[in-house]
Amino acid sequence: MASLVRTIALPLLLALAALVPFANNDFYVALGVSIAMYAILATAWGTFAGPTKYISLATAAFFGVGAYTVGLFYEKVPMLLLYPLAALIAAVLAVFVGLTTLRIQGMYFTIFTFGLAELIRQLMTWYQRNVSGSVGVYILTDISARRIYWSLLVVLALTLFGSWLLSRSRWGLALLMIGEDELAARHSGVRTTAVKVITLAATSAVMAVVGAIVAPRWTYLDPSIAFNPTLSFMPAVIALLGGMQRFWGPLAGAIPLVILFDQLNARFPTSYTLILGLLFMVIVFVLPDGILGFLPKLQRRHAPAAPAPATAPSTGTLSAPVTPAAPARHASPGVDGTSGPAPVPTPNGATLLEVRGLRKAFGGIVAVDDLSFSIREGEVFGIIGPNGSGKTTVLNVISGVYEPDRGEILFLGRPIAAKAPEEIARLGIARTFQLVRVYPSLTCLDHVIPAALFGGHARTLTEARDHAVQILEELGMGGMLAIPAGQLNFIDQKRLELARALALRPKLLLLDEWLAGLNPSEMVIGMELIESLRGRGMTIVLIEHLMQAVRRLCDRCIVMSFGQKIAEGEPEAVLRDPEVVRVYLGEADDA
Amino acid sequence: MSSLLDALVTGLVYGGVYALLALGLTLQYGVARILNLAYGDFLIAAAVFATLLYQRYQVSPLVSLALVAPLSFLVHLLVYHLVFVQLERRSGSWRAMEASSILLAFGLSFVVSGAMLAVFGGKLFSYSYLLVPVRILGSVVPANRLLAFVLALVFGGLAYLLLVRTRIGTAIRAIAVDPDGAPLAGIDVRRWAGLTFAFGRVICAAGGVLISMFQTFNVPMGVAFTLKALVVVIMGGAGNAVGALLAGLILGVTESFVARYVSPGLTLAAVYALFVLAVLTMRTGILGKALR
Amino acid sequence: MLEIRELTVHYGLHEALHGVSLEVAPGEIVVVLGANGAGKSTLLKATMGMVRPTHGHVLLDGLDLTSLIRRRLTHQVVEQGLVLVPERGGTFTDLTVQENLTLGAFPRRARARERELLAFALELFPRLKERLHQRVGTMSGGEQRMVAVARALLSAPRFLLLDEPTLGLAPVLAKQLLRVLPKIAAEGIGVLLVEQNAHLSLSVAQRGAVLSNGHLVHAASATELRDDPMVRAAYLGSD
Repeated sequence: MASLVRTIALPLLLALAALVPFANNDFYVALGVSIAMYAILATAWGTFAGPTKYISLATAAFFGVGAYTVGLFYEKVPMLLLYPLAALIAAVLAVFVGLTTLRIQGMYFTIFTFGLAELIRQLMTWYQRNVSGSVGVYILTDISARRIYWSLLVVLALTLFGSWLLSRSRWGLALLMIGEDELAARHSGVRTTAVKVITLAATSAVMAVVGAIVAPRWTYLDPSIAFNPTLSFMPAVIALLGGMQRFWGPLAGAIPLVILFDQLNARFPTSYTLILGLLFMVIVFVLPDGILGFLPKLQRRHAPAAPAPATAPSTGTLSAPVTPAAPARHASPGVDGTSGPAPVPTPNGATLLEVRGLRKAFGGIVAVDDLSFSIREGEVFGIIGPNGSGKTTVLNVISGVYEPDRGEILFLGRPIAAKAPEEIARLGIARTFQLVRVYPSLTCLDHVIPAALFGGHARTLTEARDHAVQILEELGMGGMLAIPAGQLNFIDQKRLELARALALRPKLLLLDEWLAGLNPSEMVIGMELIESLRGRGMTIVLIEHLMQAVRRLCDRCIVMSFGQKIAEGEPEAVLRDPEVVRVYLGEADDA
Repeated sequence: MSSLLDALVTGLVYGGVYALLALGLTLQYGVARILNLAYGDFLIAAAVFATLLYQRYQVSPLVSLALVAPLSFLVHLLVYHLVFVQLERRSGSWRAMEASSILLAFGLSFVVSGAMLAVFGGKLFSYSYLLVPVRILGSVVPANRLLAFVLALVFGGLAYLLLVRTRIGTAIRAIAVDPDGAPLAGIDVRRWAGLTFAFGRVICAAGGVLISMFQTFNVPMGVAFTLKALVVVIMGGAGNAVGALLAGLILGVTESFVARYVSPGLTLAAVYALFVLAVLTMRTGILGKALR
Repeated sequence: MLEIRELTVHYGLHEALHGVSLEVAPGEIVVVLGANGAGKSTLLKATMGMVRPTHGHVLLDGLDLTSLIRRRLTHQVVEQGLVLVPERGGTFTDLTVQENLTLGAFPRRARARERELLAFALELFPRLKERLHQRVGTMSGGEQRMVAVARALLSAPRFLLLDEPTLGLAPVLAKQLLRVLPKIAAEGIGVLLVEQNAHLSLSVAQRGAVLSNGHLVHAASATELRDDPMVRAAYLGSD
């Protein structure tokens, strides 16, 4: 229905808007130019800021770059070439900004963009003073206001369409994930820096094209016009007012605001900036949605957990999902499982992951100290030990969250210790998190699709979708495809994380206390699930506190205590080891 | 040779003031978690205040300073509790709060500069106060600059001692280090964050008055001051007072040399170059985290 | 007397703590045992008002702290004399030992006794005396725990709450740290300890309780609990 409105209403509206110049009233054309211009800028701004929550204050910089491209070169280069040129220059600038700041906290990005327009304005002023001799350029073309207006309408249609396409594509999904939880996105194989930088570049290019189109409207262009701070300000206000990530948002925001400010500017030219600022503060503060259009999901995340909807199957329906292929383990007796290289026979034998001499310290605290172990293909390998013994740190180092201080990690014989989480995910190591990390506003299906896509297996969205549906159905979540994760109960969120990990088609699956927090009956089903994965030949590393699970599931395990390995071998033997018993229960006090 | 020395001395004078500004800003961001993009505009407001008092009533800027400090403090305490605390209540999460507080401060900067633009437009402000030449290190410096520099160091030094030597200062730094753990030491985070935010504003106002003593300025220059203060904070490492002083001096001297030997129109480019360098090479500021 | 009555906490739909009641007398050491995720930390956090309990009360010598807790005014709870050393935390890592101890005496109730308490804390942890000007973040895990406990002591607690103080510590250090607790209790301070290290913590405590899945399933004297198969089962999941 909504898409029907879009497919019919938008062309209709644009066609109607295209008729405006025939009214032969310059005022309406000028107003139309402003509305279209700000609607495009707001759409472009919101396309990046909306999902990622990185706030750019540099719209004026990119707009100005576009306007000046025309101002400086229109006599030498044909107009039609100037638009792509403007786009290119802006994109290069944006890539520079992005590579400098987008790899670190969002704050640096905002600060960098805050002064960017001012910087380019100064550079341009300096360039004109010293090179061309005068500040400002005359732009004398035969381009009429009508033509500018129509060009803007075309760009507006393209931008709206592009932004809509993006929001439905893998990129849109990746952007959303970045805004919600960047680390979890990286563990799904999303190359977050690239996605951010390219999106920033594309939206900045659009801003520059708008600048290039609008430039001839001023016959005289000087830096204080082209880089006016209001140009950075208005798109943000409009996007906020209209609601970001809503198809009609920019238009809905641009029309009333531009008309309002046109009036204000005419009546109170001197207090214009003041009123603009006040209005903006009021919008940020009072907007019923909260701040920024991204609030629907944030609210859900922080609301005291709305009761699960009737459509969601209730707790405990971890319906025996995959055919339980593997029966329970029978321990091969006679193996001394305590420390030292374990001579335990294992399913396949080939080494999948090898960790050698691993060390990781935080400040003065050594979390993992000289740890070595290897995992063979097809086995379930447990890492156990008391709280704080360094188990999760091991997992974080393997999955690329931390770089080890010392030591090697070989996966399929290749070193992976210095690689980023997304690269490790793409190589085939998937993980779940101790504290569930799901995106409350995204549906179950949307959680799993990106992993299938960015993990590099599915080539198209449809293929990824099919794969995702299949995995969710296997895990007994076939009925929850369209339910936002925030509405799932705890165990279903855990299953969703597992589904996301499985969608990478991992060769190695790292489960960080996946069974923790489940009630006894859920636990039984959970263990059956892990067994069935093992039955399909999946290699699994299990960090676990529940000893009955370790006993039942693991082929081999190591026990850690304050960062070091104190035992290795078969679970039964290891858990009988007096050293292990001592570590778990604490030392019997002899004093 | 003498022009080299001139540039150096001028740079140091500006650098001292930048360091002071950075201290105020880093207090606001580090403790109250508000990236105050209206900082430079409030600075200009204080500078305008001092200029007008001097021009109309011949009030010494030192007296203006004594007037503007408590006024700024009260106004900002109100702004914090009426605007930012309410915003925090609404947004619920820290990340959402950070995003919306940035936008709110951006709007605030338009309000403050817009109000001044409405009254004064782009008019240039300056007054001659203590315009007596003083010879220092073989270079001639106007006494007003020297006074501004000395006062900047004195104020900065006092604020630093307050932070490092007193229990309340320690508590404020503790909030910056671990806002979630601070209540366990009996620290009322919201109360002290509000007071620190207002205190940062007092430092900003003092910086504004000092700048008015020796520099010609106008309302649109607020943005550049905000940016410079931010860059000094990033270079010095957030919450690092000694780092801020060094970074401020480096920025001031760089700016002064670029203005003298390259072109006065490229000073902001120099600021950005330092910014990029800081971001790319030194994540924790030029002194790292060890010195403090 | 510290009285925790029927404390219940929800995280979203997940019930982390279910109607837990517990009492600690002045000068007494009580340990709460339980596996990971049993709700031990939640119990302490709810008592301090760091998480908002859905139901229940906390009384300190008859004074009802519940309204402070429900409004999450942790700093005022501290001012009443309940002091928590959180899991892994409790220090300001960028500040020096001295500064951390100064902050310990930040609550108004502690100011008058600051010298006396400082002397007491340094007597318990003589190692800190030589390291007053070292930044806490550069110290070893064991030393950081000492700073955390010393800092809490300077807040003049009536009751001291400790969340897994031995977490990640080598057995020798864990033993050293826990042996300090009886000396603290001897000053009339009640200690509520949450631990995984069962043997060691039961050796210093008078009473103990076992928490499982948010329920208080067992409470007994420390000597009874020490040989209780339930304690063993809680950790090794067997027998």
